[in-house]
Amino acid sequence: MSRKAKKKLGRVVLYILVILIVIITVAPFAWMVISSLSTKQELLQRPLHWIPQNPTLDNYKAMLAGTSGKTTDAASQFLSSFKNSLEVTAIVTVISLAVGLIAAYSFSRFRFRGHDTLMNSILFTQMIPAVAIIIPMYSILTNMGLINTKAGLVITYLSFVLPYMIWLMKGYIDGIPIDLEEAAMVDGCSRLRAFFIIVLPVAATGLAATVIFAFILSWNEFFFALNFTSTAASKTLPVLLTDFSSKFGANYILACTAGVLASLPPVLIALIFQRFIISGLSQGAVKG
Amino acid sequence: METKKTPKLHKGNPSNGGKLPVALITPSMIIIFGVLIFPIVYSFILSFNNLVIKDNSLEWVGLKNYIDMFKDQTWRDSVKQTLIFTIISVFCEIVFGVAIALVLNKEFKGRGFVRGIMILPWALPGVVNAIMWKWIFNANYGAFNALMLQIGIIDKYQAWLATPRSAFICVLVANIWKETPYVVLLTIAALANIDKGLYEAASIDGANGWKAFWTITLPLIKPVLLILLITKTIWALQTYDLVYLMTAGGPMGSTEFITFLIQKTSFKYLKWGYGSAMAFTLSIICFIMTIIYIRVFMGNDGTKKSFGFGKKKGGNQ
Amino acid sequence: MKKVIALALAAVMVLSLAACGGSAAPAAGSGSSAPAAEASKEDAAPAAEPTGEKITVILPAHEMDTVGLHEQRTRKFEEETGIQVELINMGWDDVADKLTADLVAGGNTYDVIEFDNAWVLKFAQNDWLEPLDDYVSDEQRNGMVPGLIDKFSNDGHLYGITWNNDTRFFMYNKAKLEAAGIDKVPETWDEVKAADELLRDSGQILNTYIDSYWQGQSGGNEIYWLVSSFGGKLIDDNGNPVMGEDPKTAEAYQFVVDGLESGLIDPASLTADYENAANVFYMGDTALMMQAWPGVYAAANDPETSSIVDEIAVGDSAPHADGEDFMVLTLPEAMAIPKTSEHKDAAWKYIEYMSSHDFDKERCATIGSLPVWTDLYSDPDLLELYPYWEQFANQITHSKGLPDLLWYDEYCNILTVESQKIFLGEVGVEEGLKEMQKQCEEVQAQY
Repeated sequence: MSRKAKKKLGRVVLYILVILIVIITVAPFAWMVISSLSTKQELLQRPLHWIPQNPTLDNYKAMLAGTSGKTTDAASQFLSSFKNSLEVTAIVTVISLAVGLIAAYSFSRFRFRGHDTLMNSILFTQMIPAVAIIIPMYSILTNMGLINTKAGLVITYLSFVLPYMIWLMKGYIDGIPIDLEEAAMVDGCSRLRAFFIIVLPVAATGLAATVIFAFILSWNEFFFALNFTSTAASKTLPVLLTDFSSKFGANYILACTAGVLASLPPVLIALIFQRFIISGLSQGAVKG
Repeated sequence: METKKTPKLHKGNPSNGGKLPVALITPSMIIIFGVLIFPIVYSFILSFNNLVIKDNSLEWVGLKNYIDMFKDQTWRDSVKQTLIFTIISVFCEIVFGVAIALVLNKEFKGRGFVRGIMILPWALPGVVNAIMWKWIFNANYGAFNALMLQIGIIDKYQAWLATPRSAFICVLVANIWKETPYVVLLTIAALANIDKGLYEAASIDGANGWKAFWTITLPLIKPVLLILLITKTIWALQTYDLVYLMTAGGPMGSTEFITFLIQKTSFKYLKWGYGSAMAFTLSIICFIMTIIYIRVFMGNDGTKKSFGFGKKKGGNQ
Repeated sequence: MKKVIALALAAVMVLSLAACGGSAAPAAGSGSSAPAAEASKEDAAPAAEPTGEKITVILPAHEMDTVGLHEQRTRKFEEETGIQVELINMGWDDVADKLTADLVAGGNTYDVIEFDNAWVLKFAQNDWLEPLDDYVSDEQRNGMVPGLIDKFSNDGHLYGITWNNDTRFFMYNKAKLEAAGIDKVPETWDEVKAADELLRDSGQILNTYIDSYWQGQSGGNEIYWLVSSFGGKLIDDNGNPVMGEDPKTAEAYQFVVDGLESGLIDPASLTADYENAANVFYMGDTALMMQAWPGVYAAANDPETSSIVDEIAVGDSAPHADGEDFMVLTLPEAMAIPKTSEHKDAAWKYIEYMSSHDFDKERCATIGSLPVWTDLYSDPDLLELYPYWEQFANQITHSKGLPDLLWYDEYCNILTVESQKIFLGEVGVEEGLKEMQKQCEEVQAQY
């Protein structure tokens, strides 16, 4: 095989792989979208209609405009839960990024007493399943009056988002050559300045990934939210999603609809930060 | 070949930063330990007790809860299932994840778009993922049945979640589908930090493709892969939403993973002490697996304590 | 109409006998023959001043309440009493777990809570609930179905007032049976088998029935019903596990094993929750629904959810083994007040309001639920609205609750897991039932 043909074959294989990856990634989600646009009658047909013949937006209307006269059913609480989720997630993401970044920097650049012990023990806290600490946590939150509040969730979420953030960001900062910083500091830069002008820009790619990470981790958290929030003013989306069920089982169509809407914010955030990742990549791709 | 110590700004002066390093970590430590230390200690003590619900008092039973566990067939089955699930899940996620990242790292049209799509499964709330896959694998009207029938693999609809083995596989599929993209994303970010010059140098030495992957790419993405391995393992061992919503642990308890069993033991059977003992045993399993990873992955050379992210770029040449 | 009344009264008696289980409840009204209580005490002044008091109520969504009736009523309560209500409706499983967390942690989050029929001993033993003896009026005690009062009583104390009288009935697809040439509704399991052949030969359906035999609460309900319909026993009257020694129980299991093999029973039963099972029936893929809740009748006749509009009917009895009596399940849910509540009086006011005779009738009329007040079973308005209540009345006389066990959740888990092993052919029927009994005895010994 000639070199050129080989190269061409390589391209074909590449595109086939990419298409395969896209299909596998998208298909289940696409089915959820289709389900959310279908009527129940049509969805329960055999053989199945892959494309709904009578598509309907009623399910979305129920979520976004509420159902008439009701406030306690899952659909009418969708918007308030959405708002709760956004608030909790945004606060957790911002705090954990700020607080976690300086800690990660410290862990990466300095050695101090208890350095390794602390690093390892914050990871160890994450090895204890949530279910083991749910009752003492519940008692504490009750005593502080934080059950059924967003503040209670924020505190809880920080305790498990932060350790991962610190570990991840430390990993990225470790990967940044120290020489750059040292050079800057020799040139008279303060440590703070060196951190902002050297470390941050280079670590941006990694930080973008960790921001998405923190966002998604808290956006999707279920177990604590399920136990700590139940009122419309505090309940988050994952909890609401399980409410699309009677005593007897889930209403798949409404759950799918809410699921599609619930996945929009993390996907949007990810897409926004994706640009950072790509620009980071293109930086690295500059031909020497 | 590797620098084993954590990088320092001024070599040989460990306390260089004065009080600064401690000041920087203090807020994080206050939050993490402030929230968690009491619940963890309480729950540890609880594991040596029975919680008497009626007057909310503790009844000391020593190691009884831990000893009972070893006699408990349900617990042993659950540990076995969880470990198998974790090992297969994490292995597939890392292998697929790195492979996909390498493909998406190539130049092709619409690369940004495809990478954006990768975020979809990971961004999907776990609850939605479970409901979605349960619906797809529905025995009577599921899309998977319809698809398999149309391409002729089955001749009638099957109850995929009704037999232990296929239910287990369904849960695995749902988990791997959701968790792999996270590996892809972090690997892409790690790949971005690799100096392209290294490949060019290697190419001159005649190392291409596969060999370049093993000698250049893999060592350089190792730190990120290690974190991924550890976090993925912790999460897989604690899989809860998925089985809670998708199979309820069935059929025949074949997808009753440890956290789900703990949840039942505590919330349904009200055996909180026993549940705590199970939980701490799970933590120990987590811990042991983490240690094994670090030993195997980073080599047994002085990385025992700090997990050794101190490799500098180019240090592998 | 007289017949209906007589049967309803008989129902009342049976319910009160069946529901007691181990613990007798002396508080149960002996005056069940004086049902026609006048319960309309709607002397409430319109638009009361806000009292500043706020109660939190947590209940699963009523499966039939698609119009938000409970919420409307709650808002009316707020207007009339000035007490604010935070009404939380969630799925049953979620409610159960949240409540447990709150009660175990000694929280005071909720003032009125869901109290399920399977929880009575557990909640009473753990001293979680406020006894309602001092709150409840004679009118309520004597006017509500005695079985329901008994079910939520323990050791002579009443702990819950029923808000959802969830009793199950045998329903069938009349059109499909007729099209298959079956003119007699199958009553015994042998007749079900015979009908199954005709039905599946006629090509209208895939399986004769689907039920919820999955590893969950409802699996425990349905297996219990099945075994009872064969005259078998899982737990004896003293609360001891006996499934391993009872030939009739083994017969019931053998029936399911054979049914899954032959296609009489949909293999999806092993993963189906109630909603899944009902959907298959609504789509006309099965012909019988063994234990349908009252709302199934309306849903099956709603073209939005069903392909079998105008096809179903309610049986006069439910399938049973030859020579055995038939039975149907009753799984009521009540409202209760946790001991930790700081607004017990307001909570009781709410319970009283939401369980009043008036509202019960309105609820029956609006969403088709079953009455909690005895005399409503013979209410002419309701009977006119729901002619099929005549069949309901026939079946309800044979209703039976779940076994009362302090270790119900563990029993239910063992029951479903070990039953699935038998159904899937992992173990033989005899062997599997012996193992089930052994495991139950081990757990029982811990209590």
